[in-house]
Formats: sequence, structure tokens, C-alpha cells
Amino acid sequence: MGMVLSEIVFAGIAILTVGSALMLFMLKKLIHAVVCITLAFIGAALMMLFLGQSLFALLLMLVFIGGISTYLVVAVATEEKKAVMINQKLFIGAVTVFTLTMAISILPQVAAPQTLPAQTGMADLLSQFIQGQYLILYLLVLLLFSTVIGGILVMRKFAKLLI
Amino acid sequence: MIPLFYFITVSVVMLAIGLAGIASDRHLIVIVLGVELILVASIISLVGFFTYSQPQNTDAIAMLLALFVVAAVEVIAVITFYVHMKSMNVDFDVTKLSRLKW
Repeated sequence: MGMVLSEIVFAGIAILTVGSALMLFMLKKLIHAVVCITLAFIGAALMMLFLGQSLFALLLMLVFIGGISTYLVVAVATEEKKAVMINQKLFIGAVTVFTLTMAISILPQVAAPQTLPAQTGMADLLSQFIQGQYLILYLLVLLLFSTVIGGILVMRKFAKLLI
Repeated sequence: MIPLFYFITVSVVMLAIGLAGIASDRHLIVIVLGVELILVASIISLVGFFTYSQPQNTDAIAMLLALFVVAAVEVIAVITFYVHMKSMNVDFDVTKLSRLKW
């Protein structure tokens, strides 16, 4: 049961990560692309948590979400020009071709079952997450992410006044 | 326990999306975001292999920290360059940057 639950949660995180990566190139406005890549960073950090690497998850969140995403929002917020994609069908075709090529060449080599003795079920992972020493820092990361979203809202409201 | 195969699959799909986005987009910032996506995909696969195969290996940690630094510095350098060029009213269509072609 725990195994199934953790796989379902992992599937949700994988869909969030891959979906936001796809939407990054499909959406027209740059600010939407920045929000999409922030979501992809969050998905990647959650995957680090699944792997039991709390420190890397924290580092990913602090550096990428707290630093890079905020910087991107500030740089892009005043940008009016829309992203110009050469051809959306070309993009979909390229994604398909690249995915198939790499899946055929890479994935069969890691398809053999691997064991991870250090990690247990989803419940243990969550209890580690809640009781862990990084809890305050995770709250700080959540605060940083809300700062990114708040920055977008404030800039949208006051950008015309500043210019 | 989630198998390593799943992490590598997600990483491969993200790598493919990043490559396709770089190949099919013209805006500099979107291209930089595509490079970021590729770096994050490489971080996921590296952490996956590191966790499942050799958790005691410190070389992998050094490589991961180097990847973090490269990703951060690359974005900050390019965006600073972009903002500076925009302030000088330089048109930034990357398909027009043909001077380095051979």
C-alpha cells in the first residue's frame, strides 16, 4: 500500500515537472515561462526528497527558486516582447525525436532493478521531512517562493507607475 | 521505494524538452531557460545515480556543487548581459547573430 502511494505521489511530481517544462516553451509570455521553470525546479527538489537527499533539495530550492527565479522575475517583468517560437509543431516533433532517441539509447541500461537500503516508505519520508533539522529552512524556502509570486503581483500592479 | 529507472526517465524527458526548446525558440531568455532545464535534468540523474550506486563517494557531491554553481552563474551572467543590451536598445533576435557562422 505504501509502495503504491509513494508511486502515485511520484507520478504526480513527475507530471508537474515534465508538464511545467513543456509549458515553458508553449506559453507565449516570458513571465509565464519563468513561473513554469520555477515549478519545474520545485518538482526537481521534491524528487531529491524522494531520493532521500534533503540537503540537495534544500540547496536546489534556495539557489534556484530563491535566487535564480527571483532574478528572472525582476529581469523579465518589464519585458513586453513575447517569445517567438519558430514552429510549435517543430517543437513537439523535436521533443518526440529526442525523447525516443535518448530513451532507446539510455534507459535499457538502467532498467535493471536497483536497491536503495537507506530509504523506506513514504510515511517514513514524510516523518523525516517534518521532524528533520531542515524544517525551518524549508519554511524559509516556502517564504521565498511566495516572495517570487508576490513580486510578480506587485510588479504587475506598480510597473506602470514606475515607468 | 521508487526505482532508479523512474528518475532517469523523468531526467531524459526533461533533457529532450530542453534540447527541443533550444532548437525551436528564438528568444534569448527562453533559450537560457532551456539550458537551465537541461542542467536540472542532469542534476536529477546525477543525484539518482549517486544515491543508488555510491552514496559514500564525495566526488559526486563536488560535481553536483559545481553543477549548481554553473547553472546559477550562467543564468545571472546571461540575464545581466541581456538587460544591459536592452538598456542600449540593441535588438536581440538570436537568429540574426550570424557573425560567428562558418
